[in-house]
Amino acid sequence: MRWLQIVLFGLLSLGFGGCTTPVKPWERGLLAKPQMALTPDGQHFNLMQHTYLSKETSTGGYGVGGGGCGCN
Amino acid sequence: MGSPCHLSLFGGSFEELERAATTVLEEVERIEQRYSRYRQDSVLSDLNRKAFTPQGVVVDDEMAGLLDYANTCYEESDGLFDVTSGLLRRAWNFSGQAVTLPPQSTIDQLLKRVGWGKVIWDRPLFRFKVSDMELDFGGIAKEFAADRAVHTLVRHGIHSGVVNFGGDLRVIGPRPDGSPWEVGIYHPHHAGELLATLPLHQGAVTTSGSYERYLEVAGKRYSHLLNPKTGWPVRGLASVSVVAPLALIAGSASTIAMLKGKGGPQWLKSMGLPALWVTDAGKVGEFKRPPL
Amino acid sequence: MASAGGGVAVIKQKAQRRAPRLAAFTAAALAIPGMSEAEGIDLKPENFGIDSAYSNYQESHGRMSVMAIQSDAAAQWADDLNFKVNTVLDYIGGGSDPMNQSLVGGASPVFYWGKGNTYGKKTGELEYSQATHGAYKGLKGGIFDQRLSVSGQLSKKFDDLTLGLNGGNSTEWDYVSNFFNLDGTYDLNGKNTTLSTGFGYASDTVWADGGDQGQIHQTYTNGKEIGGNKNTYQALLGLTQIIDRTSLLQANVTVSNSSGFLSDPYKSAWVNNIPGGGGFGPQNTFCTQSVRFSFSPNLCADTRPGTRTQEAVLVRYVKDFEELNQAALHLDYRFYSDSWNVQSHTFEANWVQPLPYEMILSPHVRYYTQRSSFFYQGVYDNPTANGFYSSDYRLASFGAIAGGVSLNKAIIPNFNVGAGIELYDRSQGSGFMGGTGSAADNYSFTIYSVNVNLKL
Repeated sequence: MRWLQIVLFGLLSLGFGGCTTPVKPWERGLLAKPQMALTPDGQHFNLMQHTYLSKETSTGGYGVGGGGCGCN
Repeated sequence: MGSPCHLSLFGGSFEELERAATTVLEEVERIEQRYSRYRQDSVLSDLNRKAFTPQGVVVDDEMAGLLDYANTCYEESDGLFDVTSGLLRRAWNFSGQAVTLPPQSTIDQLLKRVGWGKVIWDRPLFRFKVSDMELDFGGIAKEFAADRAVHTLVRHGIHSGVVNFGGDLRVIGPRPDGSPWEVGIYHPHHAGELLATLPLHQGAVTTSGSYERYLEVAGKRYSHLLNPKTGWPVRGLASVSVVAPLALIAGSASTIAMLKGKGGPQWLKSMGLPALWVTDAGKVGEFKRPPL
Repeated sequence: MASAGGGVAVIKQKAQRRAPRLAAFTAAALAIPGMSEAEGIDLKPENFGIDSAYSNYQESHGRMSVMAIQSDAAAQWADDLNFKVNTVLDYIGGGSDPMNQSLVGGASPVFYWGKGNTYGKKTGELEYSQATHGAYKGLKGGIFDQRLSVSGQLSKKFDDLTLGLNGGNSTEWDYVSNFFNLDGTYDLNGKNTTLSTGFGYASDTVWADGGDQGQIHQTYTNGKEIGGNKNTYQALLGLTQIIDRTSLLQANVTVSNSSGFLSDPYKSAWVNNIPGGGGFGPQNTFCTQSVRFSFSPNLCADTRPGTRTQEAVLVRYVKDFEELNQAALHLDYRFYSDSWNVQSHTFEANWVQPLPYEMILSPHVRYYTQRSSFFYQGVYDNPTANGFYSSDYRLASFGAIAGGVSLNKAIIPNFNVGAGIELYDRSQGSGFMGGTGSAADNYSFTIYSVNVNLKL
């Protein structure tokens, strides 16, 4: 299904060009708020990702790195 | 003041903010009333009328402080920042559609009445040595007002926000979450485009430029900043932005750098403040203050 | 702010440290009545933050419980240098109390009984028989394991480019992992667009804990130790785009390749119709058997391919709702696919709601569905041609519905506490990907957690 991923990514990239409004630095107040961070609670996110990885077999998408675990 | 002024404040209740904003506006009004050259009844206009007398004028502490500051600017700029040079604007019309340059004789006549050297400043006594001279706090009063505004706001318990007086920005304190304010600096040669964004937790940033007010005659641009020694517009830099703890200092530094023209960057380095400049030719330079 | 007296002395000191020209300006400016200086624009003082969280994980039917303590410390110098240390300490056990090591409890299942077994068990019945160490009665035991993971990361900002380096070690009684990764982000379009890239490498060693906190390693019946080394390479490419002042979108693609010992060191699978018939005693010569589960010839040790390539595409959308006290909606979708023919979809929605009194409430829901790997079976009707065997519930087809909520409060501006609960229910029937799975694998878990965050 590699083609699906390439198409998805391509579509998204195209979408970026069309419907975005450039935001001036002084308009970034809302975007800078902690609840708008892509990962608002880093520690909780790490805990849940580790749990899901131990219980499911999917991995990836969010970042690289971190070690492996026995996860039994 | 002649320019749009914005306050962005983050604080407690709306009433507190409103109270603080009202006090600030009163303070800014007060400063304008005292130092505006447009107002006949201002303390400055009064001084201009009375200073060419044998006894001179005794000024109060605030005026004295500003005159001392003006003196420092004059000395540190090798005479280029001169609060008596306002008269020269009479020769140059920067708002209209002048077709010709002013005649040199007009400029020469005005130069006779311009020069901090023609002033006696012996605190608290101020005297003009030559008749028909004029003090103009145009490069000082707005920035002073911005710093006073912040001082007032902090006394009212406001610790987060930005004061923006016609492009001269002074930060009250970082955003409520501690993150800095992102200040955009416009590119002098590309209208509407940003040259840089600076994150500021505190302090001030001012920009002096020749790209907004200028005269164009026979295809050549003449900036509104005049060299007080020659009476002619300065050349060399299209815009200078300086970051300093106070708007007053940032404003003076960016103006002096512009007045120095090609010597501006060198002068900025001797100031030791972070600065960004664009030359008339479009070359961008910056000075990053070395860590202490 | 500067006050008269002591404050002025401090300012004078600061002024002298500056260039003399600037000092002259500063002195003159501050002499004007009513002027006071901000703290100065010298190097920002170091920012230092500590985050700690305790969480307790309980699985249904007493299968597994984990107590985890996370501690992260972060420091920042100037505007451009960040350093962080992360540690995680896990205590893993069976039953409800992971710390009670005398408790004999359940564990993640090891195999499913097949037909024609001489133990009187029903076909497909789950056998909790994963013993790791210590005293165990018969074949029952609990997982007892401790995991300590320590990693450090350093990142430096250069104008629009940020580079990061991260490395660390994770050690358990049956697993050691050494890892490092590099990442970079680059801002474009006035920071409206960010490109990100990353590369990671991990070198792991895995074995089956046979006692003495992993000092004793279990073996196969042929004498070879169960386990081996595993190398993983990962790469990421991502794009984050600000859509407008209230929303942004991120898309990431990651690729990963693992090779080495990828099987589960504890599990076995039941295989019917083995050559040579059934019967008691080790008569199995057609597949690898672990010593612990050699009592029946129908049991084959978990054997998986030696390589695995994994790909994932993640799309995340964040939107702010100003009128709702600047609450934020987070929507995530991830598609995953690998060379073992596993595919999965993950949908997650998260709502972060600021409330009065400096509180934040965050509910979220998650739906996950995966398709089984090509070699997975709960019970094998026949030996396989490729020699792969795994009845690990994590490679089965299933769906999982999860949800949770957390509440955080800033007691004082620099000190935050919070608590949360997560619920997760996995069932073979709630997936939509097809493939093979068994309802005997269904379970659910609950996580209770509390966290403390301090900024200095």
